[in-house]
Amino acid sequence: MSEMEIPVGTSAAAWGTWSAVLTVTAVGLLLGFLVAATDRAVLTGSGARAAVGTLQSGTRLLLEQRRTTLAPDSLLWRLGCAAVPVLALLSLAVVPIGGRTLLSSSADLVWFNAMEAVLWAAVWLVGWGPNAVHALTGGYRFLIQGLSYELPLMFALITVGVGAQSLRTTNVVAAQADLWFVVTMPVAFVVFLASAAAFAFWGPFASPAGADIAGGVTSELSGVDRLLVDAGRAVFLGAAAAMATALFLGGDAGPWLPGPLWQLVKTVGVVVLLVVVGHRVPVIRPDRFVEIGWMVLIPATLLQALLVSVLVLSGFYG
Amino acid sequence: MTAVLALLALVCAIVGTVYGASRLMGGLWQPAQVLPFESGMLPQQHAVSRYHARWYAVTILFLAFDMEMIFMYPWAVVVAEMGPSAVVEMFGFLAVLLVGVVYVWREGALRWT
Amino acid sequence: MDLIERVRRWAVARPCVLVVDVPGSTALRWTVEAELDRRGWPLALSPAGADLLLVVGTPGEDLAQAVDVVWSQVPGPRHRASISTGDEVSSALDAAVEALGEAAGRGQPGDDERPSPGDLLEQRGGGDHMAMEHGGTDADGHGEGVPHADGHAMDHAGMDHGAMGHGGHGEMDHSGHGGMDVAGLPMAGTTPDRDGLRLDALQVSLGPVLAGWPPGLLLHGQLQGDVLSRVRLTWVDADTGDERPASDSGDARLLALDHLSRSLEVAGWPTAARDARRARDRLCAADPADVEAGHRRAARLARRVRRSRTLAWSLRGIGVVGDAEAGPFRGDVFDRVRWWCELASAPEPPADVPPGLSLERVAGALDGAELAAARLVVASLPLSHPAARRMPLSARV
Repeated sequence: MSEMEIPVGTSAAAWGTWSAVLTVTAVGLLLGFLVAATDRAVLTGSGARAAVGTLQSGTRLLLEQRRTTLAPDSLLWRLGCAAVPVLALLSLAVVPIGGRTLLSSSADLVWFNAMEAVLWAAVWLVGWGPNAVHALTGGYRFLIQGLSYELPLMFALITVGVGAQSLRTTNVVAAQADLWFVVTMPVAFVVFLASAAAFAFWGPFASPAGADIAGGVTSELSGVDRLLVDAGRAVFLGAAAAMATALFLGGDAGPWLPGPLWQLVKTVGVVVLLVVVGHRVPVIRPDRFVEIGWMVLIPATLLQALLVSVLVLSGFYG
Repeated sequence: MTAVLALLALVCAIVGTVYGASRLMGGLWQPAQVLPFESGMLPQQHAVSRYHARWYAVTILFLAFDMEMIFMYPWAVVVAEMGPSAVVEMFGFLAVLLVGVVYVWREGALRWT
Repeated sequence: MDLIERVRRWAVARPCVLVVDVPGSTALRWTVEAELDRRGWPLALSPAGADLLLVVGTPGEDLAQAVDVVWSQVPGPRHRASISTGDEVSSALDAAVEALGEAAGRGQPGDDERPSPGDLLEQRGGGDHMAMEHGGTDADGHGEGVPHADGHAMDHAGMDHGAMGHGGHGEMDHSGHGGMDVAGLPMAGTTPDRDGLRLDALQVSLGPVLAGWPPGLLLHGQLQGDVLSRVRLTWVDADTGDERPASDSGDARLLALDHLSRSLEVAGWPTAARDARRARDRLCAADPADVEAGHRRAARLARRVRRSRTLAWSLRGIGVVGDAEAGPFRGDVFDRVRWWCELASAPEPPADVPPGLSLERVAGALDGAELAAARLVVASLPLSHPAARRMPLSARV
C-alpha cells in the first residue's frame, strides 16, 4: 500500500472549512462531556443524574470568582490553563469523524503525538504559575510521569503506523478492513489507553492532581481557570478514546449500522471501559511507575512493534 | 492547513467566549487576591524556588531515546518497501539503545527514593 | 435577569465543601460526611475548589485563625458555616446552601470583606518578623507563620523543641535574605539536603486544614524538591484542649474504617475511600439491619483493598516503623493498611486499639521522606493526642 492509495478528502474539503471545524469542536466538547459525566457517575455512584451534575458544576465554575495568588506568574499561568483545552481540541484534527479528518497529512499520528507533547509545557505552567508549593509539586510530578509514558505511547503509535504502512489516520482505518488492529496489537492498544489516562492525568495517573498534594496543579485554580483545565483533561481523554477507536477498533467499520454510529458506539464503549477500569485502581506513584515504564512497557511495545514489522514483511496485512 | 488554523481560531474564540460569559454571568469581575494555600498557615517563602528534580538522570536518558525515536516515524511507513533489512537495522539499533537503558537501570537511575 | 439569577442559584445548589474538622469532633464529622454523601455534595481538596467552608466542632484559638486564613482563600460566591452538634447538621447545610444561593444569585462574593494577602502577612507575621526574615531558621521555635493574634505570643517553644532534635542551624545560608523580599515574602534559602547537595530549601507547613490529614495536626519542615526534612509535628491548641469532648467513637471498627478512608483518599483511590466512609456510616446506624449491611460492606472493602496489587506495589516500603514498641503498626504503610482492613472487617468490635504513636516518633519517620510518602505515613498511623490520651477508648461514648 502506498501513501496515496486511498484518496479520502479531508472533512474541510468535503463539507466546507467552517462546518468541518464546527463539527470537530462540537464533537470534542461532547466527548469531553461524556467523559466527565461517566467519571462523575462512577465516582459518586449516582448513575444518570451525573450528566446533570456535570452541567451544574460546569456552570458553577463559570460563575465562580477567579483567584490570583501572591506574586504569581500570571501570564504563564493563564496561558497554561487556556492551552490545555486548546491542545485537546487541536488533537481532534486528526481523529476521523464521519470517516474524514479535518487535517489529513502524511504525519497525522505525529500531530496527535505533538499536541500531547506540548501539553507537558501547559500542565507544568499551570503548576508553576500560582507560586504555591502544592501546585509546583504537581507540575513536576506531571513531568516525571511524562518521561515514563511518552516513549511507550510513541511506540504504540509507531506500531500502528507500521501495520498500516501509513501515518494517515484514514489509511489506518482503511487498513483494518479485514482485521482490527487490536487483534494483532493488543499491547499497543492497552499502552495507548494507559498513556491517554496519563496525559490527561486522570484515574490511576492522577498524581499530578493528587489528593495528597491538595489537588496539585489544580489546587489554586478556581472559576473559569479550573473549568478550562478540567474540560481540557476530559476532552483529551475523549479524543484519545475516539483515536483508539480509529487506530485499533476499525474506526467506523461494522455491519448493519451506519459508519458514524458504529464509531460512536465504539468510542462510548472505550470511554466507559477506561473510566470503569481506571477507578478500580488506586493512583500509581510516578516514582514507581518510571521503572515499569522503562523496563516493562518500552520492551513490551518494542516487541509489539517487532511482531507487527515481521507480520508486515510476511504480507499478513495484505 | 488552513482548516487547522481555522480550528485554532475557533477554539481560541471559544476560550475567549467562556471568559466573557463568566464575566457577564458571574458578576464577580475582579479575581480574588489570595495567599497560596498552605493548609491554613501563612506561606513563609515564595514557593517558586529552584525545585530539586531528583529524577534529572531520567530526563537525559529520555532525550537520548526520544531524539532517535523521531526517526522511527518515517521508518514506519517504508518497512514493506525496504524489506527485512529495514527491520533488522532498526531493531538492531533499538537493541543497542535498550542495552543502555538496562545499564542505566542497573546503575539505579530509575530509582531515587 | 431573573433567568440569570436562577441559573446562578441552580449552579451552587450542590456546592463543593471544604470540611475543617476540629480535634475531638470525629463522630460529628462522620455525621457531616454521611449527610454530604447523601446529598451528593463533593468534598473539596483546597479552598480554591470550595464554595462552602464547613467547620465541624468548636475550634480553639490557633485553629480558628488557620480557618480564617483558609476562608480568605475561598473564591466567591462563598459561604462559611459551623456545626457543633449532630442534630443541626441537616438544617445547617440547608441554611448554608440557601445563603450561598442568595450570594450567587446577587452575583456577590458572599458576606464579609476579604483581607488582602499583604495585610494577612503583616498582621500575622508581625510578631514573628525576626524569624520570618531568617527564612524560618527557627532557632527560637517560632517564625513559621503559626497564626498568633496580634500581641499575643503563645509559647510554642516547649512542644516545638521536643519534636525537633535537629542540630545544624549553622548550615543555613543567610545570605539570600534581608532586602530580598518580594511582595512581603523572602525567597527560599539554600541548605545541604539529605545527600549533602546544597539546594534551595523551602519552609512549608502541612495542616491543620488539609484533606485527609489528622485534625489539628501541624507539620513544619523544609522541602527540597519534594523531600521533607527538619520535620516538627505539633498539635494546634494543645494547651487549651481541656474542655474538649472526647467523643472519638466507641467501636474500634469505626475508627479503623475512618483511618482506612483517610489512607485510601491520600493514596489516590477515591472510590475505595468512599466505600470505607459508607461502610462506616452504616455501622454507626441504630438499625441492626443497617449495621449488618455496613459490616458486609466493610468486609467487601477489606477484601478489595488487601487484594489490590497496585496498592501493594505503591505503598510497599514506605514509612517503615521497625521496633516492637509500635505494636501492630510495625512495618510499612501497606502493612498498616492491611491491619486497618483486618480490624474494620472484624465480626465483633475489638476490645481496644493500641494507643497511637507519639509525635516525636512519627516526625522521625517523616524526616527525609517524600511529600507523598509523608502524607501516607501520617494517614496510616494513629497518633496520640494529648486530649485523647487522657481517656481510655472503652470509656468513650
